[in-house]
Amino acid sequence: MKLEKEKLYAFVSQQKKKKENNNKNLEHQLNMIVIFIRIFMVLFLYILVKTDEIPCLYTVKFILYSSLMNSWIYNPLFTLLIFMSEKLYFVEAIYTLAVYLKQQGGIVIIFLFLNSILFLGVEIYHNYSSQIKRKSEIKLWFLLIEVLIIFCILTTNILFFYIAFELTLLTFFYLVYILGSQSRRIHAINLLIFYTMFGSIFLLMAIVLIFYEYGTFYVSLIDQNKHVNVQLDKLIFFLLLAGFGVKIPIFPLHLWLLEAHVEAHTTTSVILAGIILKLGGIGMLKFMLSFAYAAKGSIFLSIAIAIVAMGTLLCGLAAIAQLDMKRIVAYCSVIHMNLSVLSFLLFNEDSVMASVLSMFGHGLTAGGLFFCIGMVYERYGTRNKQAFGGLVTFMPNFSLFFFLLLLTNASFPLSINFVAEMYTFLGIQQASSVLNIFLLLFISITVILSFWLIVRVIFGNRFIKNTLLGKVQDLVFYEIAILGILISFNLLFGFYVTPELVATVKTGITFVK
Amino acid sequence: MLLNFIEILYFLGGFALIIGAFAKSAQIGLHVWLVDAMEGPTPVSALIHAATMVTAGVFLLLRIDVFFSSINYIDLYLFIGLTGGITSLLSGIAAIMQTDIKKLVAYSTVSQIGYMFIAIGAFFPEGALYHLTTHAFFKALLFLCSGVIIYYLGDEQDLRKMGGLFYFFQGTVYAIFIANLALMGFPFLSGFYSKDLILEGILSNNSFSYSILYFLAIFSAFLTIIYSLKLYLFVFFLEYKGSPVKLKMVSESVVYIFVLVSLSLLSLFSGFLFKEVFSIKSFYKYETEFLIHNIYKLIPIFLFFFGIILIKLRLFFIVKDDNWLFSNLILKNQKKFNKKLGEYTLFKIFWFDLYINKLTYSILIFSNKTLYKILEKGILETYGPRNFVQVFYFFSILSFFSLNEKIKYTNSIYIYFLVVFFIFYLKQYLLAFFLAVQFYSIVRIYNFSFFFNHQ
Repeated sequence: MKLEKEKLYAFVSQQKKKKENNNKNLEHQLNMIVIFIRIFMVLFLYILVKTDEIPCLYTVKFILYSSLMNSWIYNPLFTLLIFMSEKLYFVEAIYTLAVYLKQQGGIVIIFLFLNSILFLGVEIYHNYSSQIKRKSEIKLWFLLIEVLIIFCILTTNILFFYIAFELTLLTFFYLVYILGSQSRRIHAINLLIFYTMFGSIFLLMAIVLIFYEYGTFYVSLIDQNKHVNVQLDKLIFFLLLAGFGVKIPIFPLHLWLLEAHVEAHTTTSVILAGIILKLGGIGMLKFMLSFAYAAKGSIFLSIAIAIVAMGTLLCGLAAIAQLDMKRIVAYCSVIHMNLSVLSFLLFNEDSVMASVLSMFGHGLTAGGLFFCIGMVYERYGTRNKQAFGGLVTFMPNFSLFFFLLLLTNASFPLSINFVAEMYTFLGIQQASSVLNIFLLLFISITVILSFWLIVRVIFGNRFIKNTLLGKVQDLVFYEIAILGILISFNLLFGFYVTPELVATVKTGITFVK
Repeated sequence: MLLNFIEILYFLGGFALIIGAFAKSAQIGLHVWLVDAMEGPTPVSALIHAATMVTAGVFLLLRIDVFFSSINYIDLYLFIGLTGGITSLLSGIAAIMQTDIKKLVAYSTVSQIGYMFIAIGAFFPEGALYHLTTHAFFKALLFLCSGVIIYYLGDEQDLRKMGGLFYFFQGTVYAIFIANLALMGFPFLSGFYSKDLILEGILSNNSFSYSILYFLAIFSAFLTIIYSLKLYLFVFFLEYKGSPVKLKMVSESVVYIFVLVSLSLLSLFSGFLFKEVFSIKSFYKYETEFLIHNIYKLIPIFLFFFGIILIKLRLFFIVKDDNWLFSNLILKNQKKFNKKLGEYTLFKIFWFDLYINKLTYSILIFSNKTLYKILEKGILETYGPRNFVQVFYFFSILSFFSLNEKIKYTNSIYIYFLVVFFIFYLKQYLLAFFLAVQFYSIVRIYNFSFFFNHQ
């Protein structure tokens, strides 16, 4: 009997080991499959849209040549194959893409830049981190998100923008609900779906009205002489505002963002806060400026400005009492985006410039902060700010990056956020000097939030707080790479705002008068 | 629109700038940070809390002096001067009562910067700049000497545990002596030139309302004498009241000589060397040194000797357990005086710490209780997730086919028909019904007991 039992146990253990080996091989194979699917997706898009739709064609090429950079990290041989196959059309593609981008303006360039930086960090994280489950699925969905975002950024057609805009929802449904691990994700996904659907109804109505009136979906190519019906343009403007206002969370409609950030993994929240919120802003900047003349003197605009201003204040004060650090950063993102919306609704050159720069800066900072919080969560298992104190003793390298990111969050000088705030000051002063006082309040609130974390979490006496922190591994090379990239670009543009940057952005802003 | 709207705007701009200067230079309402920043090391304090950072506010007002003179709505110079005078007074009184070396020197910086603000308020910004430069030298010297003493005694900062160290630290004694004399305005040292020039500049104003600044400056000078000599006395004379272990460890080192010597030389001679650089305008502009009565020039010296006499008589420093002003009186009448009031009101200048903390605490409580719990978790969620989602559950088709929860969801059938009827026949009242449903939902869900105080 004993011998048989021992044999049974031995047999079972061998089977278990085989299963483990099989799983490892499977993961390796799935990684290769992701790379192949990348190429097939590219070809599929190329075949789908054989019209004069330029952005589809060049999303293809753009993705390929950005994926070259990202895939070099884990598969250099394969990238050589791709490069050698596309050798002949490389230069032509880049040239035509550059011409197209110059026509559109600097907004597109800035957001593509942001997109590439964040997805580079995301792919590095996915490749090297050990805490992710179902890696291949996540990589697939992020690939899809990347394609959709580039598509959104490059289009001038509002219908295609809407399609891609809605498909991102699908990806987030998967990422938050199916890949989430906590029980509150049902509530979060309910909020996300219902809020964004509620907003997309208004978007659809606006698109229908545009086509009914003007006969095209290419909003920026409509002649000024054809803007005859002012009432309709006003309606279109406010429908678009309501539609985009759910995605950029304007104050009363921001609840989904808080829940979604808490339930999502680090990379999903990075992309959500880094780019997805800006899709609404991009839509605003592209499609609403031609209808802005109709809304200038109306009451609803002033009501919207008032709601946005009060919303930032209330969000800022509500964020002081939060315990989860992800929620704090989500509130900060709501504040920054509402500031960009506020500056946009004033329709000055300086204020629109400010909205673009604030979005850009906020994308980098929010991405970095969510990465940082994810690193802390990996090591300690909590995100509660009361549980931390004196983090610098265990993770000094990390505390440097975290500190700098929190400073940029507080719109400290030598960051893009500071430049954006100065431009908002200029823009708001041209419209009304009373709103500037509110701006100072907002700045002070963001400073309070970020410095609270700096003083209590990073630098502080943990023996007074009775924290039970332990020795953990400091940052690893890939984490340093991600955070360093994000911080360096923020400080680079904050040190010296080039006139080329300003000029490129201003070419993309065309008012109808 | 008011006719002088622009003038009001100019005034508001100047006022805002002044308050920024007050915050940076640690004046009366916003001085708390400087006292609490003494947790850091003394070289840091010597640089920023004596010479460079706290004088940024003064420098701002110097550069903007042209703008202030063009404001016609309200006279801001008196405001600056009075706040400077009040800070110098109150911080001097607080410095007398301090038990910690570094906090004493911090309060002395606050009072000296108040002195500079008095100068600006008396239309004499060049004197403020002069005092700024000379003050930097001897104050940095004071900070560094105190840091050196703290280091020698093994991180001992309390004055009440020091004494009788005159024969142990000869080098630092020299340095502190020179710094104290410069601070007090001993004749022909650096502080004398700047302080007496400011006093003369105040007297050059021929108006009655600016004459109060003179009294404030004089009294603050008197207080500087007292607390600077207190430091000197308590550290180096009287008997040692600390642990004997630290006395054994005491040994003066040679490393700090260069620094102390250089700063002491500067604090000795910088007044004389740089007097034409900063004050050349004033000599030809004001000519007050020839128009003042002799007594005004002798008052500082008189105060100096008066202060020494008071210290010899030990009127201010009755050393019992704690060191406070008029301790005998308060010991006798301890029941009358609340202990808090008697001891510590002037220790930290009327409890600014406490009020600021209360303010922040109230903001947090407000943000959590009202903003977050009522607004976000309450109102916004009723219009958003809570009711909206429950509506979907309520209207879901599964309710028709559920066997267990028949009683809860059978009403959904009737509601479908009701909605159809309502839309076709009662379209005009839809809005009213919608709003009524919203209000009913809030009233039904909410517990309004928050608005009634319960314990």
